[in-house]
Amino acid sequence: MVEQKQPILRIEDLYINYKVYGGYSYVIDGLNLNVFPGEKIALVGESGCGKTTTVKSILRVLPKQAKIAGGSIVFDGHDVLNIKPNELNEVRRRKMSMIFQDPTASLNPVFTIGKQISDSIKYSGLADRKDKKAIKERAIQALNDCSMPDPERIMGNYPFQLSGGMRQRVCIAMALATASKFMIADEPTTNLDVTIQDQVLKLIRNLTDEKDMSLILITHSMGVARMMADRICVMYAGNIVENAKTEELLEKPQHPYTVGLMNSIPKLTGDSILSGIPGRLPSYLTPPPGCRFSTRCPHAFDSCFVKKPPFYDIGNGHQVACYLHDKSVPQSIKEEAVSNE
Amino acid sequence: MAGFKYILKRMAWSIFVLFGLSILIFCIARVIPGDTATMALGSTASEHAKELYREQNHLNEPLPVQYFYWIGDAVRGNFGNSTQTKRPVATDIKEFLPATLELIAFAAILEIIGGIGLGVLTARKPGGLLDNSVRVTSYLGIATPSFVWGILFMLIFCHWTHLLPTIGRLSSNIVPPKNITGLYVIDGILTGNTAAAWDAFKHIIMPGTALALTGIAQSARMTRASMLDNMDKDYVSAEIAAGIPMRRVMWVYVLRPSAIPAVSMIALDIAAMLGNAFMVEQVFSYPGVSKYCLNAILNKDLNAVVGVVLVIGVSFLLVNIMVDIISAFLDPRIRLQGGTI
Ligand SMILES: Nc1ncnc2c1ncn2[C@@H]1O[C@H](COP(=O)(O)OP(=O)(O)OP(=O)(O)O)[C@@H](O)[C@H]1O
Ligand SMILES: [Mg+2]
Repeated sequence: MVEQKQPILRIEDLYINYKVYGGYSYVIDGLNLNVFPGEKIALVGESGCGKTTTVKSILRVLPKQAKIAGGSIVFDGHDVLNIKPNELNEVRRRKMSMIFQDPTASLNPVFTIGKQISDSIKYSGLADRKDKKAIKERAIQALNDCSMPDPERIMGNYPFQLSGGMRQRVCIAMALATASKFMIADEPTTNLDVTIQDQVLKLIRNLTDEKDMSLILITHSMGVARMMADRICVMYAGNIVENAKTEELLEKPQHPYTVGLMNSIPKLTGDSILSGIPGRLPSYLTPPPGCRFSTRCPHAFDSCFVKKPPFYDIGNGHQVACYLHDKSVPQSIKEEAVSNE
Repeated sequence: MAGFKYILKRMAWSIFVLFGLSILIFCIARVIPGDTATMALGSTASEHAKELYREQNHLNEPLPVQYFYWIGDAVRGNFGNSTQTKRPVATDIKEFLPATLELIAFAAILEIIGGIGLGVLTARKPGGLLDNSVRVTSYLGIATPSFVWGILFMLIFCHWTHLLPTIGRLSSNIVPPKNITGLYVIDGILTGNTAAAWDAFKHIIMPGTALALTGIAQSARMTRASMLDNMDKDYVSAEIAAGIPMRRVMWVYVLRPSAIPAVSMIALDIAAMLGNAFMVEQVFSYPGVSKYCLNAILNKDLNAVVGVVLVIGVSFLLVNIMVDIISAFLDPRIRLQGGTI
C-alpha cells in the first residue's frame, strides 16, 4: 500500500532452471518483483508458469534439481542468495513463513500435529525454548485462531487422522503462528470446499492485516485475487508480464495474456483460468527467444519473436511487458498487430 | 492400545507360520530321507533291530500321528543324537549357537549404525565427495562375498600388522568366562573378567565386519534412496522454511519416515546371517552354529540339520515380530490403523 517506502522484498532479474533428463528446463526467466511492507500481492497465472518455483526461491527451499542461475533477492536487508546458513535460518524463523501448496504433503506423516506445530514455534523464538507449557499454549492458540474444533485433541492426532480441510488449516495455523513480517501462501484454498475456502481466505486476510504483514498469495482464481490483494502480478512462463493495482488491472488489463485470461472467466467471479487461450505454455527446454507469449499471442509482430520485451511503465503504477506499449514502435505496426485476431 | 492389539495379531499370525515351518521340517526329517530306521541304524542293521526301532519311535503309525510325536519331542528340545559329535543335537546347539549370536550381534550393530548413518550422511549432499566414495565402495561391498573380505582382513590385520587374532573365539591362553548368557563378551563384562571380554571382542571384529559389509552397503543405499525421496516432499520444505536446523530435519523428520523400509531390510538381513555366517565361520575357524550346520549337511547328519533349521526358522519369526514392533513404533499409520504403508 505504502509505496513511498522501501520494498521489504525485492527480486531482481531472477533466473532459475531445473536439471531434467536431456538438459535444462529454463523456467524462471529474468523475473522482477517488489513487495512493500504491509502490501498484499496476488500472483496469478496458469499451472506450470513458475509461481511455486518463484516463491520457494525466496525461502531457499527449492528442490535439489533447481539452480538459481542469476539475479538477486533482497528481503528486509538480507541478501537471500548470498546469506550465511545461520542468518538464513534466522530469517526463516523470525521473519517469514510459507503455506505450501499441497496440504496432503505438507505435514510430516509420522509425527503428531502437536509436535510439528510446537517445533516451529520453538525455533521461531516466540516462546522460551524450554518452556513446554508456553509453547503448547501458543500452538493451541494458533489452532484456535484458525477455528479448529477441539485443538487439544487435534494436537495429539497424526495427519492421516484429519480431513484435507483440517490439514490445510493446520498448515495455515503453523505458518501464522510464527509469521511476523511476511507471509507466502501458495494456493491455500485448493482442495477446500467453497464455504471453507471463504473462511480460510478471510482468516489469512484478517491475521495478516492484524499484524500488518506483507502477503504473496498464489492463486488460479481472479475472484480470489480481487478479494485478497492490493496488487495483482500476472505471470506467464517464468516472467511477470503485468503488474498493477487490483482494480486497475481488472478494469484495464493491457497485456494480451491478461486480456485472454479475463475473457476466459465469465464475470470474474472466481473460476479457474486454465482455459480460454488457445495453445499452451512453450517448452522450457527450448523456450522462444523473444517474448515467451509470442507463440500464443494473437497480436505478435516481428520484434516479439526476437527479444524479450522489458517492462513498460504506463502510469498509475501499472507495468506491462509488451511491445505494444513501446513508444518507439510505429503506431501503424501496432494497429495492424491489434487488428490481427 | 491399538498398537498393542496390532502386535498381538501379528504374533498370533506367526504361530500359523511356525506350524507351516514345522511341517516343512518334519518332511525333511521323516518323509524325504526314505527309511528312517535304516538312516538311524545304518544299512548293516538287522531287520529285527530296525523293526524294534520303528516300534519304539512310533514309525509304524500314520504320518499325522508321527508328526505329533515328532513335534512333541522337538518342542522339548529333543532332536536325537548327532552322528558327527555323538552327542544330543540340543547340547551341540547350546554350545555353538551363542558364538554365532555374539558374532551376529556385533555385525547387526555395525550394520544398523553404519548403514543408516552412511545413508543419512550421503543423502545430505547427493553427488558430493562422501556420496560418490560411498557409492563406489558400496558396489565393492555388495559385489564381494564376505569370505573374500575375511581373507583380505586376515592378510591385513593378522599377517601384516598382527593387530588382531586370526582364528577361533578366544585365545588359547585365556580361560572362558563363567557361563551366564553364553556370549563371551557379555559374560566377561558381567563377571568382571575384562581380559576375556576384550580377547573375545578382538576375535569377533574381523568376522563380524566381514559378515556385515554387504548389509551395510545395501542398507546405506536403501536409506539414502528413501531419504532423497522424502526430502522432495513439501513437508520437508515446510520444516526447513520454519527454520528448523538442517541437522534436526535430516536426523529426525526425514529419517523417521525413511527408516521404515530400511529397517525391515536390515532386520531380515540380520536374520539371514544365521544361515550365511558359515562362510566367515569357516574362514576364521569360528566355532559357530552355522559352520556346525554346514558340516551336518555335508555329513548327512539329519538330526543336526533339523535342529539348526528349526532354530533358524524360529529366529526368523522372532525377527519378523521385532520388525513389526519397530515399524509400528516408527509409523503411526501401522500402529493405529493396522494397515500397511
Ligand atoms: N523438481 C522439478 N524438476 C524439474 N522441473 C520442475 C520441478 N519442479 C517444477 N518444475 C517445472 O517448473 C515449471 C514451473 O513449476 P511450478 O511448480 O513453479 O509451477 P506453478 O506455477 O506453481 O504451477 P501450479 O499452478 O500447477 O502449482 C513446470 O514446468 C515444472 O514442470
Ligand atoms: Mg504451484
